[in-house]
Amino acid sequence: MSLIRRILGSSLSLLLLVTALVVGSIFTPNFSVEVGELPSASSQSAKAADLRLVCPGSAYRSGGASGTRLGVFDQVGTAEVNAIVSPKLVETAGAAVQSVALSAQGDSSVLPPASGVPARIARPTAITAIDAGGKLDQGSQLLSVSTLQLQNSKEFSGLLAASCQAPSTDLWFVGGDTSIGREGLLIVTNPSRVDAQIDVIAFNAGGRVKADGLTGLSVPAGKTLVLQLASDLLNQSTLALHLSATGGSVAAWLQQRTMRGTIPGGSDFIGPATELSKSLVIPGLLLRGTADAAAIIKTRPEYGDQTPLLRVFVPAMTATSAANGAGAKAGQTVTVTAQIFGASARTFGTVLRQELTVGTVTDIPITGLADGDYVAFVSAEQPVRASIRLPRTNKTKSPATDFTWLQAGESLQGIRGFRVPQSGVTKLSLGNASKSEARLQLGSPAQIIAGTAPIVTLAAGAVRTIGLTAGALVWMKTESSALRANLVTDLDSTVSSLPITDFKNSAEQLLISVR
Amino acid sequence: MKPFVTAVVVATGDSDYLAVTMQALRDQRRSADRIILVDTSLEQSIAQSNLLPAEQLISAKGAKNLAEALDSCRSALSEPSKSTGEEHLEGWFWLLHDDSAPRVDALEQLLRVVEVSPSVAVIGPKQLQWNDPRQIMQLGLTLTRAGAIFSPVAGELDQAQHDHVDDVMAVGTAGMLVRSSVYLAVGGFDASAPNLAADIDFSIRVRRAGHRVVVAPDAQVAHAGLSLAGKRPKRWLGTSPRAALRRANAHLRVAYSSAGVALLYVLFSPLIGLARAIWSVAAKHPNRIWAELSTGFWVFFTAFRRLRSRSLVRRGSKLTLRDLDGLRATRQQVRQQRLNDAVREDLEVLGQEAVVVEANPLLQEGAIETVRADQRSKSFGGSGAYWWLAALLGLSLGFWPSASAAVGGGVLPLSSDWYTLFTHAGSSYQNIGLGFFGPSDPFNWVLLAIGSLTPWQPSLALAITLFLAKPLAFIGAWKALSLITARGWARNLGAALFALWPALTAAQLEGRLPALIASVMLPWFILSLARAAGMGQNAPRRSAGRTWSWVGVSGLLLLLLGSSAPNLLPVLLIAIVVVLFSRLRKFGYLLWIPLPLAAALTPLVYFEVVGLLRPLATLADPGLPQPSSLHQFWQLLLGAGANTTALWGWGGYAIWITVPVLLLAALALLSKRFVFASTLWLLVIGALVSAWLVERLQFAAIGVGSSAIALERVNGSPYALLTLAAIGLIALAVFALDQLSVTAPRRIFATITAVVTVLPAAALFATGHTDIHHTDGRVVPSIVAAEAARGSQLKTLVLKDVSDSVGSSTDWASGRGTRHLTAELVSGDGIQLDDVSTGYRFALAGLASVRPEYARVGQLVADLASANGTDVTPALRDSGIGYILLPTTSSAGAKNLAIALDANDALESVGQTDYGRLWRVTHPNTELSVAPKVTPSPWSITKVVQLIIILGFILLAIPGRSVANGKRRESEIFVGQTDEPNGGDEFD
Repeated sequence: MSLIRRILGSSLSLLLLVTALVVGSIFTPNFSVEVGELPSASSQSAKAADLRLVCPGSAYRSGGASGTRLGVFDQVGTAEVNAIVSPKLVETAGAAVQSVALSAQGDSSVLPPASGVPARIARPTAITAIDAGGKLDQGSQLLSVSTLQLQNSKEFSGLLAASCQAPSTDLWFVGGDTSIGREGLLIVTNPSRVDAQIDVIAFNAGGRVKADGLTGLSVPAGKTLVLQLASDLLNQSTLALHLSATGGSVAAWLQQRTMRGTIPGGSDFIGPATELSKSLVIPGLLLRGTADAAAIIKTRPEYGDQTPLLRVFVPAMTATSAANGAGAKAGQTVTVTAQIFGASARTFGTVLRQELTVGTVTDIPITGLADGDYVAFVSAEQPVRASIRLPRTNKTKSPATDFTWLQAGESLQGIRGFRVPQSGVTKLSLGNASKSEARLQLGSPAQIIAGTAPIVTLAAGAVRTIGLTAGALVWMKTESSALRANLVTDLDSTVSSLPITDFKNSAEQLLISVR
Repeated sequence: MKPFVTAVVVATGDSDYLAVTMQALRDQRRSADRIILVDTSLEQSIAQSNLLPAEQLISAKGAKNLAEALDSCRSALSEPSKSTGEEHLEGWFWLLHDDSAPRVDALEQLLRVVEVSPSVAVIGPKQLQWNDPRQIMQLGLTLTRAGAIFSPVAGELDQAQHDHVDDVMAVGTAGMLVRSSVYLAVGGFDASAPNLAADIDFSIRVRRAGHRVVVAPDAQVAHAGLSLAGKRPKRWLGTSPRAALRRANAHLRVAYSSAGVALLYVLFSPLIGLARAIWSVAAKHPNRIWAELSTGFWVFFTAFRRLRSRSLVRRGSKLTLRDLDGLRATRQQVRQQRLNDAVREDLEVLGQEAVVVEANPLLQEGAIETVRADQRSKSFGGSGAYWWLAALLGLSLGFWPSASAAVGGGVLPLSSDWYTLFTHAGSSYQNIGLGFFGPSDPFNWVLLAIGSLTPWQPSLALAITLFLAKPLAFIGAWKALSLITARGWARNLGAALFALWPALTAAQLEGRLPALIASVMLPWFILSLARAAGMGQNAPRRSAGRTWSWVGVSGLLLLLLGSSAPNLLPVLLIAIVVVLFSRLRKFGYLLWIPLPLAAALTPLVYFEVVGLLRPLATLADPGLPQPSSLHQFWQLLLGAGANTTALWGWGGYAIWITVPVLLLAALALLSKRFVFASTLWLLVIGALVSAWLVERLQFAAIGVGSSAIALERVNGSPYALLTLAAIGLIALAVFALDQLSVTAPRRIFATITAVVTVLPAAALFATGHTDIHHTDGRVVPSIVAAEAARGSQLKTLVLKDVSDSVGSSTDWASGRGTRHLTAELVSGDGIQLDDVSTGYRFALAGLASVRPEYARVGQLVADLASANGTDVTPALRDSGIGYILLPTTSSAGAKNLAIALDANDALESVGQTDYGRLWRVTHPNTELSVAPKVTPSPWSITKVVQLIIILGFILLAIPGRSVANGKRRESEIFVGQTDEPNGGDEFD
């Protein structure tokens, strides 16, 4: 082949190659072609597990009768049970309510199950709405139970109300105090048939508290474990706890008790904080005796905790929250604003704003409020948990003090049912967090079903307090997702609070992909 | 007595050959006393007018053999006196074929033998080639010691070297002069015998009757051999010439063996035919397969006719066959004949490529040492390649099998025993999920081949393969580069480049087993294809046998490549077609290469294209689906190196290390042989474009065994195609270096390439992260594996909560939403690599919607997850579930699922295992908890066909004895002698 032809051929080949590569590199379109169909997940409906609520029973006394025996906790007295059971349950074949008293810690006796809801209980009790056919809608209409106990002894005073709860594997408590004169007992009941293991992580104003003794604890099946928090969390006045369970679901409460010297200062069952949100509503701030409290605090500083207090926990970013684009890292700060609105024109309320450090618990005193009915609207730059300590002070009774921890309310959208405690004076505190008016039907189950229940209207941002008849069965029905409520019961200068709960077993519809 | 010769010409119709034969007959110096033309054609095409008045035309319409043809003129043969009226005549007939023209003195010479030797009854002439009278076609026939028909003199030049031969065992019928009385006494030709056995059978009977059979070398007949050339009507031989010859041998075996042997032979003839067919493949004569098989069945179905011939054999016998042993062919003769046949076959097929001589007689004294030294430097050891191998082994130490199974990336252990692995290959039913009727992956054959290396522990072979991937790739590339260059250092450099190429390294580190296997085997395939096609330099001696061996190897390697990386096939098949049409002489050989691949792939391709209407699914990689990064075209050109070690904002350094190779490859276009370089560049671009397209295909990835990944779709893997492109680029680079005539620039470029590409690539491989680790091969908890080992057929339900994964409908803010669970049913000892099925992946969407069992399992899972107290024991029994496994994960969904399972009375917790939490079903299906009474058969029609073809190709691939080792006689002169000691053309 002649030299010229060879050069021409080589050059042309090289030119074509470079052109092809350049064009291929620059002008390649972006596209994709899907090959093969994906099997779609089938929606399967599974009968919901029977609704089971666990009640703590009566209050726990540490140290035994003498109060000096280490590690000994016994339950004193009995608590009244306030339950609402759907009439449909009675009418449905194969449905029943079963109560099983669970053995307390250290108690080896086997207690037989009772049917129906007992009037009073002493031991932790699991109450189950058995529905073999799975036909009944679950929720507070089917079964809602709470307990109430008044303690009035020389070592133990206060009104303890507990909402019986569905067992869970993940519980938060925003409340508690283990400083001098303050006792916190974490009561964990395992109603399942397998042992559960729990880990408790504590947070305070400085962040996470190292407490190795609170991890890897075993709660035997059907038993209750009582933890003296002071053993591991000494002198912690600002606390939030996270309990996680594996192996079985558990129910838990934080029993908080105050002793000022030899004078009991009140007690409370603190229930789990269920709400984690950028916007929380804490109804039930029904202040009474503020003047008494102010007078006592002036001369006796140990009564300083008789002022209302907002406790906020700002969780740090987790993997889940990061996936959802929310949460800040520990050490950063977020702004939290609490608007406390009064129910009447005379009670203006107040506004609190503070920069809080992520990963810590902060107590914000609520000062300057006169007696009245208030609701706190808490907002933050990231989801937070919050609760309010509501005190009661009666200086005429040596003085008599008590407190309760109000939890952020869940949405009331739908129908909620509860029985008003038979003891004391109970009020329903409502708050409307939306920018529009909200309506609520409030009445007996029959009235709600018939649609003849009275309607309560709340303007945007409004608060309302409604007195309830003791022992009454109450249903609430609303379309609004912004309404929140708490029950506050006053009895003989003591106070307790109950959240409006609606427990139901989830996952009635599951997506199943069989591969 | 005076001989009366009747010339009988048997014709299968009018032809030019007949005209020449008849004229030669008429021109005889000693004319035949009578001439009879027997026309056996069906159309009666010979006219009487073509004959002289004295010549007689007899119609034997449709006669299928000589016996029937001669029967038509039997009376003329038996009574010569009647036609002449003379007494004292001895009748002889001279049998001629229509393609056998006697020389003018042929009859005279034959009769001279009669005069000299009155005891002779049959005389045969010297048959010469019709087109080349210098070559002897036949001079007598005999049998070998084994009883096969043997022509002692065939294909030799006539130099009168055999003119001393007289007594033989048999003569051919073309030009045979027979004493009529003897013919009639022994019963004539056997009508039951095949035509190609008739002459030898007749002659042996004549011998056994006490008469002599001789050849008359001075009597010469030109014979065209139309029967053996297959140019006669098919009814004459009844089959192809090769099969006809085989039938002739088989008939003689039955007729002349002892009664017992004959009976056994007939009864087992199909098996004997099968065994001989297999032996033909092993002996590199696959063209004899049909002949052997058909003969076996022919003997069986014509057994009575074969056995009937034995009575004719005994008729009038005075001698036994053993008495004729002195006339049989010696072993020496048979060996020499085979050698000659092989060389002749090589010359016919390979032409100038066939190498004959061992040493070049033109080499001067002393030059031999130079040649030997040069050959040593080109050898693998002489070029220092072993040092490179050692270095690669050292780099691969991270893959050293510290336990019996490798796991990680796309690698799973294989089945624990070889038999299970065997049952999975080519099966039509997959015991995965809820059972799947569909073809298994062709890749299972590859896994079977690998697992067979360590049959006591198949997974170990897989682990060893991962360890040896780079050394094997190096050796393959080294061998393949020998097609282009003889320089040892160039081959070392090119092979190292290939072994360390980024795509191959990535495939190894990420555990992309199918792509890795395909990549390692690619250069071996290229080498074998080139050798089969007779292309490339430095070829060893070529022969038909070796060509068949390379065809066998190529077929197996193409099967391996196509099964491991189906997306390679479009480019490879185009390349094969190009080679096929550039080597038309080898068409008959090369055409068979895709056969094993076609056999293995057809069921799956048919299933996906016709059954599922998913033609693109055929391009999906087998094994566990693994996602691949999307690359730009220029990144693919550079080898798709990992984007690591940022280099001043130009991207990772690893991407750019292949630039010197690309530049050299481009330089190849400026060489003299730019056409060759352009062709290679076309291959490279084709591979890169295919890789780019494949990456854009999103294959469904959900199926049994895919629970390890969260993705629903994975894009196609380009690594095998990138390796193919790499081979092209490296070949071009080596070619460019080889073409450089000046040493200095060659050394500079090579050094730059070694420093910029090889060393960094080695470092990247050595420091690269891999997920591959080694375990004992279990993929399920020990208790499940132990129960499976005892034969339990219970399945394990593997549950996973994917509610938190991408795309779920969980509402984060409220923590509520729809739970989404996945469920896999795995059988026995879990999902191994040979259980994974591509067909199942693409069929699952349809299966789940039409088979009610999927809905039942879904409901079961929902009931288990909700812990609603439903009695799930019947559902667990129906589904054959014995265990439930929850893989270890810290998600809230998994915790809740575990709690729900704990709460179920039908389950008891076994506890935490290496694979997650395990529960045992309290009351499982007891029938399934024991080994099955009847083991399901591993066979299917598909599998049998595939296995036969694969085994056949394995036999074909096994090298046979070298033809060059045979001795040749000095008098032989062969055409096609080459003067290149190393033979072969340059690669073109």
